[in-house]
Amino acid sequence: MHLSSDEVIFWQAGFIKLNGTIVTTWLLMLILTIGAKLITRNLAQNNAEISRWQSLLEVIVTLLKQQIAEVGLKQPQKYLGFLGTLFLFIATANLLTIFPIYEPPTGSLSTTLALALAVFIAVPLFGIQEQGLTGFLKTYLEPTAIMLPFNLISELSRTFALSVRLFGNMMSGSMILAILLIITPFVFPIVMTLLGLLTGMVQAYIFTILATVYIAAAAEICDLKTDN
Amino acid sequence: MLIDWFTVAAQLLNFVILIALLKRFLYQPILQALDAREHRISAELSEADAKKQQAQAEYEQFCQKNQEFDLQRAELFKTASEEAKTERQRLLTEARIEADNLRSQRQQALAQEVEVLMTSLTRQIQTEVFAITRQVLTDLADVNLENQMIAVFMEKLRSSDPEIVSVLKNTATPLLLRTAFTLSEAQQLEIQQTIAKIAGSEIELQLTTEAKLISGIELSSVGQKIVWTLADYLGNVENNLKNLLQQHIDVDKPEKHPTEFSKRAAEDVS
Repeated sequence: MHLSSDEVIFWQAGFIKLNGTIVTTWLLMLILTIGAKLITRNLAQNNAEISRWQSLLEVIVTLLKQQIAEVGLKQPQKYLGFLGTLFLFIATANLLTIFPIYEPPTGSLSTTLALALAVFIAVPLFGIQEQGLTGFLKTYLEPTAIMLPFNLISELSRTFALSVRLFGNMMSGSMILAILLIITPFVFPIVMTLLGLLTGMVQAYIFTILATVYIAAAAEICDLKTDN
Repeated sequence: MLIDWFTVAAQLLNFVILIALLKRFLYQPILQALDAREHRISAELSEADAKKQQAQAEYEQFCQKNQEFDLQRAELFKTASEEAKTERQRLLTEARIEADNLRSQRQQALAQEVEVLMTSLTRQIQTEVFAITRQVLTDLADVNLENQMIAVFMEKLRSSDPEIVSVLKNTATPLLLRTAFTLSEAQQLEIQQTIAKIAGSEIELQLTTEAKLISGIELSSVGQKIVWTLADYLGNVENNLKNLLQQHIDVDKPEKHPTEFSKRAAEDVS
């Protein structure tokens, strides 16, 4: 029994290794890309000809846009690529836990840390894009310069919190499921799987919404300035 | 160690690649499709609005035209009604005038017929009465009517009636003696002598026989006439016949018994 799919190593050459997390991630990337490609290759314009899959994708994209806009970002299309991918990746990774031998890459702290790092990098990038480097750096000195260390700690800790929250939830779900399979192999694991699905979706939503809030916080000052 | 830094880097890279892939294959086409559809729907809505406005305008125009048409129709109907009324009045008037003319013509024709009938009837009666009288006098009294009439005529002349004397004395032209029967020469001579005696001089006398006098004798000068016929006696009979015929004519007159046509005409006029 292992805590993370990182421990399943298929191939290794020095520090370069091909573990279960990476392979599963590639698999997910393939599924998402090929699925998107298949659905969007023949997009219908007429309402009567729209397929169910196209409707599904349109609903997802529209919902994501709405959510991003509701948090306070005025141009949701600009952030849709990053935040939407974050949600779709985590949600898909978590949804596939219904397959017995599948281990979600989100159950690996390396993956969740990588995603949290992505947010950690994206927030200043979007902030700088919105208000410039100086303007963004000034936000760390607000309300006073004394707050600089606290702001930096806050940045780091929220990134760490993001990664650990997702990892903890997903890993614990997988662990509980594995333990229950050993103790009570019938019926009960199914209920736990359902619970795991719910937890997975909630975690995907939380991760994305938090990332959106962080980005919105970085871009908010600029928006306020623009408003003024 | 839960964190494998190589895996972290690899996952970070994977995530960036996934962002690029999904942007390319998912968000871009879907957003474009949504935008295109929104534009299309917006265009369709705009077009629908335009069509609705156009339809509204056309509807208002149609309503206005309809109202105008109704007004025109009412006006035309009114005009036509008035024209029809006028035409009916004219036709009724014409018909009434024509009917009056016809009635008048008929009455005239009837009056003429009555006149002719009366004349014919009177003559016939006179002839019959004269014939019967003559026959009766001949058969029962063995008297000739004409002779007796001449005798009475002569008696009248001799009685020196002032009227007759005046006629005979004042005449300057030949006297005309018309009789319904032919006078014998003796009778002619006797009459001539009697007249000469009364007038005091010889007077030329022209004798003519006219059947229409019906057993009568008529002595006439210019503007004066002495008549001695059955016509005076038959006057009452003629008057009675005339009255009887007049009664029949009056019964047939439309004024007293209006026909259906005149009744309707009266109703229409009212």
